[in-house]
Parts: sequence; structure tokens; C-alpha cells
Amino acid sequence: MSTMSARNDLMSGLMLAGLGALVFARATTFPALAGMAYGPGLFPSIAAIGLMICGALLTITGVRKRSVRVTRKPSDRRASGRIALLLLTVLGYGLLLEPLGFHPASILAVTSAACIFGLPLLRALLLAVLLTVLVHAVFYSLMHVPLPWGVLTPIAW
Amino acid sequence: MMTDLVWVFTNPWILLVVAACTFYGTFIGAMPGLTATMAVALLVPFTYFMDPMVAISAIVATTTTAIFAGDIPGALMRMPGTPASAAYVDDAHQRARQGKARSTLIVSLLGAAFGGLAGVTILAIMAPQLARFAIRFSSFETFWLAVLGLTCALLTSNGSVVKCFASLFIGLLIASIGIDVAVGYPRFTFGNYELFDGVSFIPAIIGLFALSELLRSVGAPKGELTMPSIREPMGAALASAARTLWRFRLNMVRSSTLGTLIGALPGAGADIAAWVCYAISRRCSSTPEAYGHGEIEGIVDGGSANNAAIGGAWTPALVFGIPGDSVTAIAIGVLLLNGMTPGPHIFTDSPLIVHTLYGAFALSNLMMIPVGLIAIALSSLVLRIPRRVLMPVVLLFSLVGAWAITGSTMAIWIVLALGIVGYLMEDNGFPLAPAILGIVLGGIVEQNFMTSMMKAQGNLLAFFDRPWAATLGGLTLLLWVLLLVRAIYPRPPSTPNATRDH
Repeated sequence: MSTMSARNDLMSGLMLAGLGALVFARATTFPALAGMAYGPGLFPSIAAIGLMICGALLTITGVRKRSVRVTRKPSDRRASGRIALLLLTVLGYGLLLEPLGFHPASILAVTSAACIFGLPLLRALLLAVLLTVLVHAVFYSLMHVPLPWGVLTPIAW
Repeated sequence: MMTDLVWVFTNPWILLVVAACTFYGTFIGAMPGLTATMAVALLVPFTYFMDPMVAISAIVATTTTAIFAGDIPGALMRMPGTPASAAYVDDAHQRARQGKARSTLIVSLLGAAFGGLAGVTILAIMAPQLARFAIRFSSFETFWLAVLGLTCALLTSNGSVVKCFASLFIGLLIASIGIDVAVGYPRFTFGNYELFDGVSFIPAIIGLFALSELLRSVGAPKGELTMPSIREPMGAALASAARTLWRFRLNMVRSSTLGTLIGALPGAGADIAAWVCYAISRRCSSTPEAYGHGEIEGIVDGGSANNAAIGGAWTPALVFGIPGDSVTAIAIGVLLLNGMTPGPHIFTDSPLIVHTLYGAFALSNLMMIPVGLIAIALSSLVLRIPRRVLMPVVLLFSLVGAWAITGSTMAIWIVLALGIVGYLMEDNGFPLAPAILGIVLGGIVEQNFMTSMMKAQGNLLAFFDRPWAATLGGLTLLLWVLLLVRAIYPRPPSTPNATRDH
């Protein structure tokens, strides 16, 4: 457990420091306020410097605690796979929502998510259809959110 | 005020929405892993389309019931439904295994209702007094208050100080995206016009609290549900619970008061209140050795403290516009979207919203009792709803809810990005609460800093010129010293499992 957290500290420390450095580099290019030492770059710079300091401190603790390399358990790898698939589902939803329309995109996304969580395909599809009808009723009919119709635009009501 | 309260109690829309949210909050709170903050995050897209009075009532009813309902899986499965129930989960579970699940849960339900009512009463007494005094504050004092709020968020978060700071800076960075307040320069927008207004708040919290939770859930190993059998009839359980509460009535009063005050600290929420009151209860008890092994006394304390803290958390939100916890941070965002700025002026400018808030608290704590009893009676059925059905439902409501706010796929990208950020942060032990306070308070801090600097023509010492500004500034600097000391001499973590948001 402690080796795991040490490795994570090292990783997150380096990532935070890197992010801070990038933000800082960008923030120094912001224009200053006329006649004043502070401008739009001040607050991002403070946050960036803070991130660099935190990142450095975490990196140091990570390096100090590091001893044995940890090997990921197979169940761990399968879990990471499921996380990646769920992220892909959200990505696909964002890409398909407008061109394909709300209804097909939602059915696809829910079916995929339910399968990732372990529901058999047919039941996942049933859940997706029912849920899409429900969300249509709540958001489109009741709250008048202009959900995109996409390919179904000819039959939109 | 009385007429406003009568208006709340007789307004059919508010009654309907509070009733619906009472059921909704109970359901989400009772689901292990779905937190009260997440319940509110999923609710917010709906409140966007409501009248602000109804919206606030909905948020209040959802949090109140979700914090109580977190006790249900805590008792039955030893899995606290919300982190606020974690303090006394061992006691509750031990009692459930002795067959006393129902009476234990009724004790925490009635204790929660009492705590909630006490919390809102203290809020109603305390807030207007503080507001009368805060009305003289200028941008200098507001700046210090916001900084103080951020500092308290760091002080009260559990976990490593460095990670709390990092979380705060991530929040501040997200807050700085968009057109800047001083000269209107677009920052970190990469030429994307939709980011000029900043990262849209509601998709951001949906990503941080809902998508990150889904990612954690899909990565978690599938556990078997084992629930102790329930042997008590409801009537007998109710009678036994009433006797227990009468026996520990002083504990209830003590923890409700203390819980409200802890909740009123910016950054400290229901989970911290429950931990502190549980610890105090143990210290004052005549049977401290029984704590953790099924002692009901600590459940009375913790159960009333966490619900009292919800009311307390609204104090800094209403009076100073500075959120007391992540839920009030979201609520402030909702008020701002509706064109209302929380702060001392809200008591004179729109007293109806303040009184609606009090009324909604009273109403939802009363409605929670029958709904909670139903939930306790049916608890084993509710907990049998499989995760693989529930989670896809949460996913679609998250995505469509976020999309409804901006009307563009930018919302989905924000949910995706912040969902990944939230998941990585929690997975590596970074608390989320400082980040969300950073997102909400970042803009307030910067705006008041810039306004003050323009007034003082760049003289930094102006921040200590006015007496109250100097006091608040001094207090803030003192707390920073305290934080530094804590970072250099870290204490062993005394409250495990409390790093998560409630």
C-alpha cells in the first residue's frame, strides 16, 4: 500500500509541477493593467506557482518513499480497461450527440455503459430504450430543453 | 417572516418539489457510493428551469434527506451511503447484526430531523445579526473573507496539507479560465468562444462529482451483498427508538448546537461535524469502551450533528456569499445563475429567498420523518437495486443534464475533462472540497482584489487600512502560520475515510 501511494505521489507530483510550469509560462504573456503591477496574469501565476511548489514537494516525498516496484494485479488491469471503456462511451456520446441526434446517441451510450457495468446485451438495450424515452419525457416534453434530433429531424415533434 | 413561512408551507409547487426531492434524496443517499453532493449535482440542471425559491427548496430537501439516508446502507451493509455517516458506521452495523437495524435507523432518523430543525433555528437567529454587521463590508473585507474561506477549507480538510493545497490551486486555475475581470483578456480559452464565460459551473460539478463517481464504481471490484435479517416490527422499533432519544436528549441538544457551529465554518461540512461530535460524545460518555461496538449514544450524537451542520453551512453562504461546504458552493452557483448575489444585502433585497430557505429546511426535516420511515421499512428492497442498472441511469442523466445547461457539446467535454480530473484526484488522495471551493471563491477573490487595487491605486497596504479588513487579514495570516506549522509537523490522521466529500 505504501509503495503504491509513494509511486502515485511521484507521478502526481511530476504532473502537477509540469502543469504549473505550463500555466506559468502562458500567464506571463498576459498583458498587464495600465500603470499597475497586477493584471490578468496575477491569479493564474499564483495558482501556477502553488502547483509547482506542491508538485515539487510531492515528488520529493514520492522519491523518498519509493522502494519496490509494484506489479499491477490482473483484476486491476481489467478495472482500468472498464474505466477506459466508460470514458470512450462519454467521448462517443459527445461526438455523436449532434450529428446522430439525442435518441440514437443515448441508446448507444446507455447500452454500452450498461454492458460495461455487466448487464447482458439484450437487457442493456431494453434499459437504454426505456431510459431514453424517460429522459425525452422529462427534459424535452416537461422542461422544454431543445434536445438535438440529428438524423431524426424529419420526424421531430 | 411568518407570512413568508406560511407562503412556503402552502405553496403547492414548493410542497410538491420538496416531497419529490425528499424521496429522491433518500434514494440517492441510501445508495452506497452515491453522495449527497452528487445528488445535488444531478439535481441542479432541473433547478435551472425552476423559480429560484423552488430551486433552493429542492436543494435543501435533497441534502437534508440524503445525509440521513446515508445511514441506511451504513447500518445494513457497513457501507456509509455518504461520508457523513462514516463516523458511527461501526456502531450502527454492529447493532444491525444484533437484529436492531430498524430501531437504530429510527434513532438516527429522528435525531437527524431534530438536528436539522435545530440547525435552521440557529441559522435563522444568527444569520440576520451577522448580516447587519457585514453590510458595512467593502471589497477589502470581502477579499479577506473569501481568502479566509479558502484557508478554512484547507484547515478542515483531512489528508495531507500539500494535497489540500494542490487541490485548491487546481480549483483556482479552473476558476481563472475565461475573460478576466480587470481588462477583459481571454485566459486559457485557446480561442474557443464558449470558454470566454469561463468553465460552465454545472457541467463542472457534474464531472467532478458524478462522472468521477461512476469511474470509481466501474473500477471497483464487485462485492456480494450480505445484509443482516431484520427481526424488529416497525411499531416496537419506533417505541424503542423514542425511549433511546429521550434518554440521550441532552446529547442531541449538545451535538445539534455544536454541529451547526461546525457546519458554519467555511469548508467544514457534515462529515467533519459528525466526526467531532462523535469524538466528544465518546469522551463525555460513561461507557466510552462500548463505542465502535454497537453503542447507540454515539449514533444519536453523530446522526443529529451531521444534519445540523447542513443548516449551519448556509450561514457563511447567506451572510458573506462564501460557501460553508461543497453543497452550499453549488447552491451559491445556482443563486448567481438566477441573478441573485448572496451576501448581507440579500436579507434586505430579497428577504423572501431567505425565508423560503428557512421554510424549506423546516418542511424537509418534517417530511423526512414519514419518508425516512418508509425507506427504513423497505430498506432491504431499495438496497437490492443492482449497480449495473443504476449507474447507466446516472450516466445519462449527468450527460443530458449538463447538455441542457449550455445547449452545446462543450458541456459534455467539460464533464469528461473534470470527471477524469476528479477521478484521478480522489484516486491519489487529493480531497475534492478545496477544489470546488476554489472554483466558486476564485472569481470572488480575484474580483475583489482587483477592485480594491484599483481603489487603492496599487497600494497593497490598503488591505490593512480599514479596521475590519485589518482584523480579518490578521486572522487569515495567523491561520496560514498554523497551516505551515501543521505541514511541517504533521499529526497522525485521526479520522480515516473522512477525506471524501459528503
